Amino acid sequence: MNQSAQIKQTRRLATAVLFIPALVQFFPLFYLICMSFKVGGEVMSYPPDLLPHSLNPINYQTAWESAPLWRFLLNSIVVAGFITLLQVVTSILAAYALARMEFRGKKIIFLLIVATMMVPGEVTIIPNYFTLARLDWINTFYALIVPFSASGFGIFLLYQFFRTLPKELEEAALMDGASRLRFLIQFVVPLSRPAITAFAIYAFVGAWNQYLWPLIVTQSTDMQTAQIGIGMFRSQNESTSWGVVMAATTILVAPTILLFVFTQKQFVRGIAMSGMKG
Amino acid sequence: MTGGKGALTQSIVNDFNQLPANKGKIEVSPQFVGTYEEGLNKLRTALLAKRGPHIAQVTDIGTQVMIDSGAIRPIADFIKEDPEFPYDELLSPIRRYYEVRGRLYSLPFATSTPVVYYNEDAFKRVGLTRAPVTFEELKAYSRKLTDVNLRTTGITWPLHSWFFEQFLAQQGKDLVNHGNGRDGRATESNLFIPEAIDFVSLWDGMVREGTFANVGRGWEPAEQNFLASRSAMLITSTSDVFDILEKASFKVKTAAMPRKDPSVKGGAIVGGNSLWILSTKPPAEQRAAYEFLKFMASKAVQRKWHMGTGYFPIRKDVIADLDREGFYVKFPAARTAITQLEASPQMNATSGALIGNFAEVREAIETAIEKVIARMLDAPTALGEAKAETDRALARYNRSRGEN
Amino acid sequence: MKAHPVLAWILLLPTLVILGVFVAYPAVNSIYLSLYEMEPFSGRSFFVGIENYRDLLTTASYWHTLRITLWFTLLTVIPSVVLSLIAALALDANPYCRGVLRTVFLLPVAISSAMAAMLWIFIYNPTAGYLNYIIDCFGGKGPNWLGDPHWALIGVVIATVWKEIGFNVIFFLAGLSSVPQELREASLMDGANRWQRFWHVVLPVLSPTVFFVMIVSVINSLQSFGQIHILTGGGPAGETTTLVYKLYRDGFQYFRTGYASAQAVGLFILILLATGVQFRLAKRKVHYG
Repeated sequence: MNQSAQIKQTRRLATAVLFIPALVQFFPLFYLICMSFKVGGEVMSYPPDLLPHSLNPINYQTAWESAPLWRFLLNSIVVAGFITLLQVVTSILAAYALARMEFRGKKIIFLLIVATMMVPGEVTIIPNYFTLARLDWINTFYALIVPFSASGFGIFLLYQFFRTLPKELEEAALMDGASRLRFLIQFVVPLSRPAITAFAIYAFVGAWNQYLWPLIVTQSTDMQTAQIGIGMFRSQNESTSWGVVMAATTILVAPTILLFVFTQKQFVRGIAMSGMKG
Repeated sequence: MTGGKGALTQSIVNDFNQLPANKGKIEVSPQFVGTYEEGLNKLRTALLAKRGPHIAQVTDIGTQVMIDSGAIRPIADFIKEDPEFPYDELLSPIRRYYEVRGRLYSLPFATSTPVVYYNEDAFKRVGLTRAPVTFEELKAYSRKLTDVNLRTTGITWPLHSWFFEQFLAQQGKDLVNHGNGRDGRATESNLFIPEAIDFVSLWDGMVREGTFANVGRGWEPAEQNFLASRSAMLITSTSDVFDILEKASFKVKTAAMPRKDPSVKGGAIVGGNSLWILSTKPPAEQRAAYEFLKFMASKAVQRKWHMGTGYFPIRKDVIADLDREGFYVKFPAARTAITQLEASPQMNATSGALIGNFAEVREAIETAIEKVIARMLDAPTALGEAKAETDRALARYNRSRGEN
Repeated sequence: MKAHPVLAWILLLPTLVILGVFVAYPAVNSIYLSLYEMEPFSGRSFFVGIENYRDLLTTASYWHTLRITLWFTLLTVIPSVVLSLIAALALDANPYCRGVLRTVFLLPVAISSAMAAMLWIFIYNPTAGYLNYIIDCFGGKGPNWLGDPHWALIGVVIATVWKEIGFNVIFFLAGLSSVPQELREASLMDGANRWQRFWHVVLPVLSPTVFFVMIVSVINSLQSFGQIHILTGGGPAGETTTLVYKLYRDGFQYFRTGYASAQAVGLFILILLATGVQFRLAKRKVHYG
């Protein structure tokens, strides 16, 4: 088989392989959106029909009116945004130091940082609450952001990535008189864009999805976040209006999806860059 | 409180804040804290750091642990000095739950008991005219209402320890010793008594026969099952009554829970939650909190709350008024649970158990039931295990209180 | 490389402070707490030494929980890593509607574990759930996914893998982007068969990413909480109670702080071991630069 035919075959195979999994990945979200348009008992009909009878926006209206969703959205965006930014910055700095610099105690520090990934989150809740209470940061953005402004995962990921970059590049730049920091910013970061983007998404989603910590640490409705907002629609006592919950969720899920759509380009650019390296 | 009940709570709070006597002096702001469990965690974390709210809404089974916390002020302290508080109007079974040795600790807020909801249309189709009254009738009716071809079953209820506790109390039995935890700390549970084994065997038997739809834990699946006409009977909280009436596409009627032996002295226990005043705040603020609770106990608020949700009014006079006004002629379904509760005799069993770590006990019971239904163990073995586990847990809790 | 300790420490400082205060300190604190028994609300505690640990190790349910945890980890990590690797490779090789397909695969990540779990409850619902309906249409009878002790773990695993694939695909795509284009093209063209090409050419270059994904997947799996809480609450009959869920229950439902802290220490040790083993294996298999 000649080369281009083989490539074509591979591509067709790739598309075929992706079809059903893509459907499976997509289905629950599609289900979510369909349900958000269903009214009352329609949600629990048997046999279940997927598509709603009509595109009735009443659930969205109810959801919007029942809770300050815009406020929750805003809070979540601010919190998740800052957490992501801080985690990315601190991780880049730390990972670079660990991957590319020599100093005493490097190995231990690396192991300790990796060890922090293994601490079950549950044990941190009460002590951190105490710490924040002492700092008088309860019910502030600081409480929601600061404890999460560094990440063992980020450091680990970027460490892996930085280590794959060729040393020659660095040595050449340093010999040219560039400072380490400059090298980091001008070369390492752009080259690592895919990994950084991947981590940014991970960090953002992780921060966006937090529930227990924001619940414990906020005291007023105007500080609460999107996930708590969804929790408000889930009733413990009466049979939940699932349509409304789904509508609220769809509204609150939108920012993360938009994030994905916009970061798609980062992956593509990364591929192009490594092609140039030759 | 979420959804419709949350909105109603908010509106009641607004009413309080708007009162001329309160404007500029007292303002209450409610806070959503997630589920009961999450809320309790939040409360505990705050208290450990010496912070917290003025009033906490705590689930019924959290009563003993709240008393043990040392961070609450019994509402009885305020009632003592306030002759205006409608203490005598409070319904006895409801009051008794939150009262220990004559002292009322918290104000009952959302209160309910289970009732039987049944699909009258389905009943008529098989020639039944009323709900079952005894366990024998329960089994027989369920058989009649089960149709393998249509995939319908006779009855369903959530897999929740509440029902186990209720059916024990119906037979006049305490859940734990020392007067159901009310005369002294419980040290032993009654999970292995004949009545307990009988109930679980009944439940399991009906699952095996195919007359009971096992939809697992959680309040909703059972309700959904009933509303989808898959089961003809549903036992669940009366707090959903208006909701179910509205959502059902068939005629719904209610009835009291069936009893194994109606001649035995016993009755229903209330469930729900109550409002506690915390002692971590200055006395003036505690008084203000009390004013709010007193407002919650007023006739107007109780009316509004009951008519807007399915929860009981905690006052006898409100019920009497509604009777007179014919409200229950329009909504007989809402009266059933009240009548059932009024018939509940005064005894420790119907006052509900007081256990510091009630949550552990419930988990042991529910796990035992699951094991029986999954045919992993038979009822006596499972309950025996649950009893051993629960007794250990009780001992542990007592020890952590420094009392061996 | 010249040593630059000062600069290095400066770069590390923010991380060390944050992780130190908000992760390391609580971790050490919990070791301390595991030696005590604490009263739920007042915070009063008394020393019990290794009592909590002894209690834990002699309870049959703890070992049962350990077994379930290991099963759960195995059943979620292997499929999710393998499937997401295949998906990433396929996505990478596929030029048609690249952006759209990539977004579709990543979608599950956008929904929180809790919300995803709620969706799955609907899909698994014994009365009107979609999954059993589809099985029904093919003539089978679907099990009570979340209510049957024999199936519940599988139900939770499926919901978990569904979400994990989205995450892992992101990382694999990032890793693949560092595989030079020529290498990939070359691997397609030589006479050797596709499988060999992949195994000997692409995979080694991808190995740092695979390593990362495996480590992260195992750690996440061992700490997996949100969906179990919503889907099954650890039941039925404790068949989906993992170590972390038992920890949560003992710490946040029963308020047994000392006991839960001992479990946290145990869980940490387990994760440490699992990670350590992987690091050991990696020494031989992971190639950098």
